[in-house]
Amino acid sequence: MRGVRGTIPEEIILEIFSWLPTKSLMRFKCVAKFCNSLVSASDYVDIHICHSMTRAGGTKLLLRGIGVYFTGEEKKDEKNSRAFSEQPAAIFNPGTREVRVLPKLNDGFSLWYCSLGFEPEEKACKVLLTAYHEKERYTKHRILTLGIDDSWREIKHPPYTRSFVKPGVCINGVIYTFALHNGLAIAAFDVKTENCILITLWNNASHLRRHYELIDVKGKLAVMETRPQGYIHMGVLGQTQKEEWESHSIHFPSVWKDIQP
Amino acid sequence: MVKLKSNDDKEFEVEEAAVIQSEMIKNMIEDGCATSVIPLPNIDSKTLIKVIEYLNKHINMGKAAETGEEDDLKEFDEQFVNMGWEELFDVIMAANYLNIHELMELCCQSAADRLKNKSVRAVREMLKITNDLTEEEEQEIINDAPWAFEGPEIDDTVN
Repeated sequence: MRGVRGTIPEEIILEIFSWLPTKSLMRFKCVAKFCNSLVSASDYVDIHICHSMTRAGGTKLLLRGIGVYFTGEEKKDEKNSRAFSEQPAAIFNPGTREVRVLPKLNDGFSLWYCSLGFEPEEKACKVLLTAYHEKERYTKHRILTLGIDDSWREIKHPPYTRSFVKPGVCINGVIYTFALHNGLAIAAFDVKTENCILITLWNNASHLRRHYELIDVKGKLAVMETRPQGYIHMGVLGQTQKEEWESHSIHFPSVWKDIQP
Repeated sequence: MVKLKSNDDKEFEVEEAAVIQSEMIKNMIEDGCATSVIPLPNIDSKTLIKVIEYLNKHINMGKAAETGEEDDLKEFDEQFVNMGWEELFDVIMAANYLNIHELMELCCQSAADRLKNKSVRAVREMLKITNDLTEEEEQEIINDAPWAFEGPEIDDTVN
């Protein structure tokens, strides 16, 4: 392999570099000045991440996104000690070891959590934030597209009012999170269209909500319900999102009997 | 049919459905700027033949997905990028000029795969880039992420 004919425009070199694994990309910052400055620019990192996510074994982002924070005034109130985190949501890229802090929400939202979504068609990364306003008792849903938005955008008319604070899971461009709407339900947020629909569970699980978890099973959404009797009931949602649940029971080995969920 | 002319004055006839995968030509046709022959002063005939081969194969993309010929297309793509380093760059430059998104992506991924395990020195040589970083600047980048410069896979050769 010899060198290429003539000089290659920088834009083409950077396009090629955006398809590299992270380790190579970090090394090639040393190739020349323009490589170093562009690879370090945050919008370039976003493009690289999006390419990486479509590739097997590529970089995945980690999101730290559950927390409580206070507005300036509340902060001074020492009695208010429920805060376990006042930090804003942040995204960590394990490849570049870069931490990106997401914009803070102010105006009295105290409890919030985030889910990270990836939309494979347009290769866009979006963060869905659900924040609860404690004084006014309402929930707001906001969205932020990585590399495009500087601040949170509000989602109009979500089909549910309250969220259940547990991390969501993103499968095939849809973020699934628990929502409270006549009992426990699942909100399915389409990352591309930013539309949200509600999916009801096979039972109207109105209590013991902490026993429920959402997971990805081979590209399908599954809800795990840990039963105190010592087994997990797992419902797998059909591909069509038409509330057709395929039911599985996973029994714990006897040695697990004493383990309570 | 649309006629394309390479910079060495050879003409090629391509079906309109195939050629409009190029955003540039599609825009020309839509704006009524496409005369009987579209001259491509940046592309030689050897490269243009490759590009046309790609366009013709990918013309029925939608159909392939329906009839399960996707694997076929994947195999074609793998074979297609199996070309020399210089030829690959000729195709990348042509795909960039003609604005054929999928072809650009395919070739850039292939170029990235060939570069990924190379040393910094080898990359400079392969891409003909002159290093304009000072020694201090270089050292600073290395100190920031020393793990990126270590590993048995790193290859200093240019072939």
